[in-house]
Amino acid sequence: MYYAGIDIGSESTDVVIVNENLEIVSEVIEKTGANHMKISETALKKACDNINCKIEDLQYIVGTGYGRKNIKYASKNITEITCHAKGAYNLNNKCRIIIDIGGQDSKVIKLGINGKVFNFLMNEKCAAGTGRFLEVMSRVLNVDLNDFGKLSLTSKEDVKLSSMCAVFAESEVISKIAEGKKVEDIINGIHNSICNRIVAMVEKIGCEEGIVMTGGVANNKGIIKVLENRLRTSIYVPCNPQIVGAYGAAISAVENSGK
Amino acid sequence: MSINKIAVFCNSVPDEILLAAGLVSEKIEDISLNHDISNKYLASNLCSYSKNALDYLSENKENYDGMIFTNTCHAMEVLYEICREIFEDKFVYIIDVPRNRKDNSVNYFYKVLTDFVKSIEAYFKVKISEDDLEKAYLKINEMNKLRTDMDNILSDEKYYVQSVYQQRIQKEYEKMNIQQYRRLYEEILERKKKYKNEVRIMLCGSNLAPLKIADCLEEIGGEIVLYDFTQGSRRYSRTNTYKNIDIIEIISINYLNKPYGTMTSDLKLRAKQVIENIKKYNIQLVFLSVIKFCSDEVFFSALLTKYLAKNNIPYLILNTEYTEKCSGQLLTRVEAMLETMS
Repeated sequence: MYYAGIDIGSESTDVVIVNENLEIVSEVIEKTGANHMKISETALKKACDNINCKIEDLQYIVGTGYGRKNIKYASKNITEITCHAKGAYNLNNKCRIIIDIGGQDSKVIKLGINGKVFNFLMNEKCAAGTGRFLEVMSRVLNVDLNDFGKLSLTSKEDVKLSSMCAVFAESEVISKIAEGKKVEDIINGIHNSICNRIVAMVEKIGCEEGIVMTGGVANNKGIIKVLENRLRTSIYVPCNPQIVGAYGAAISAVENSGK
Repeated sequence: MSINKIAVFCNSVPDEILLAAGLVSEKIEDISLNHDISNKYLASNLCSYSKNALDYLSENKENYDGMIFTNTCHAMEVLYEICREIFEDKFVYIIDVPRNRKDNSVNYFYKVLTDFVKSIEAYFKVKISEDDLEKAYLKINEMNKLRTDMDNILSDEKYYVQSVYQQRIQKEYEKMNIQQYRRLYEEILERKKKYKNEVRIMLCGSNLAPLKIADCLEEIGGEIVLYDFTQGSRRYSRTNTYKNIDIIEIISINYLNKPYGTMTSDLKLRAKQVIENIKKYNIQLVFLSVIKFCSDEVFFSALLTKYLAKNNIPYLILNTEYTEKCSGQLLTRVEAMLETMS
């Protein structure tokens, strides 16, 4: 029997199908675009095709993410905060804090010893400290976003961005380019700028061992390095951090199917 | 002659004096969708309620003959100055409200209100007699009594007014009689049956009038108790009567002795009152709505959360704008909080 979780984020729509043992049997990541209903159906169908089943064969479907209310097939929708907590805790039961840098917001979630959400913080409507900030900078620097992590690890000079606002930071980055600063140093400065926000949130909620980072930005090794240095602890990154929310939704689907 | 309508922004403006002068007060709570005027005159980081009020007044200026402010917060003082400039043909007035209840504050407020009466008489060319004031006082007092009765019924039942009903009472209280209140009470009990297993939530803050958040909370699955610091409980509790005392003196005493609200500078007392109400209504979860850029509320919320934590009451601070919109991010936070409670 199969169960699905669909996570519609502002950037990507992720689908995970699990069996009753909570093992991932299929996963799909698609660009979200403007039509939530259509993309959730397309992604779900692709995930089903991977294991030769039909959408109707799925026992239970849970939707999550900011587009969760627009999923036609979902039997239930649950917030991404609860889903990321479930997903991260099932992947690493030592998890106590989750950092999720999403496309339009960042979240820091604190778990109790049983894996339940104990507290959480979300940044307010603001691009600084989100994946969108990195996207904008990627365009300004004309560097592929996937190369940001690798490049920043070669940085030798500390370039500081003083602007708290993503819009002003963009013009500040342009000034740094004009000053002749190296791209890798500017990228490292951008990472530091984002991490300032995240570190403040982690410290506010209470930093402790057992940090897991989820979401697509967790693939950026430069960000992980900065966060580990600043928080003075190692950060666990699942092998595919982008699907953790959808995996948590799929776990919820298994739990809810019996109710 | 048509009745003159006066825009007010705070419950510290005495309805009795306006009524005695033949004026009708209206608390500005409606939403404006056009922000051209406030963007022109006010800083972007000024309280969104004040900005909305300015836009709403500009769009509906022909409906009001005057605007009465109180100096209870910085944003109101700014709004008063701007309105004085752009509504030159209207009665624009600010009342200096003392921040405590000491005798000398009552005496000072008495003088402030006496000047206020004179200003109204001069501008609207009316004479407010002792008799007019007493009639107005008794009428407002009668309405307060009805509100108190309603509140007592609900308190005795350890129940409370849910958002949709509270909104109706706030909007219609002047037109309702005790029979209508009792019918409303029956409706509330019916609704209670429907929601009896839901999480009991207190939604508190200042200027909660756009109750979209409350509606969303009820939709998600919560019973709501509203606690609006600006609405306060003045209309519920101020029913005491005095004999052989000057009516303006009674008003001065009553208005300074209403339950602790936004004008109370002793924030600890305000916080303690919130905690008392949380216990009274068996609240399980508190959502504290803080209007963006309202420095008073930001400061108070920091203190209140300490008290909530000390009393092991789960809470979530919602930074909101004075708008009908309920953003996706806000809803996610609210839903996630409810999920942690389940």
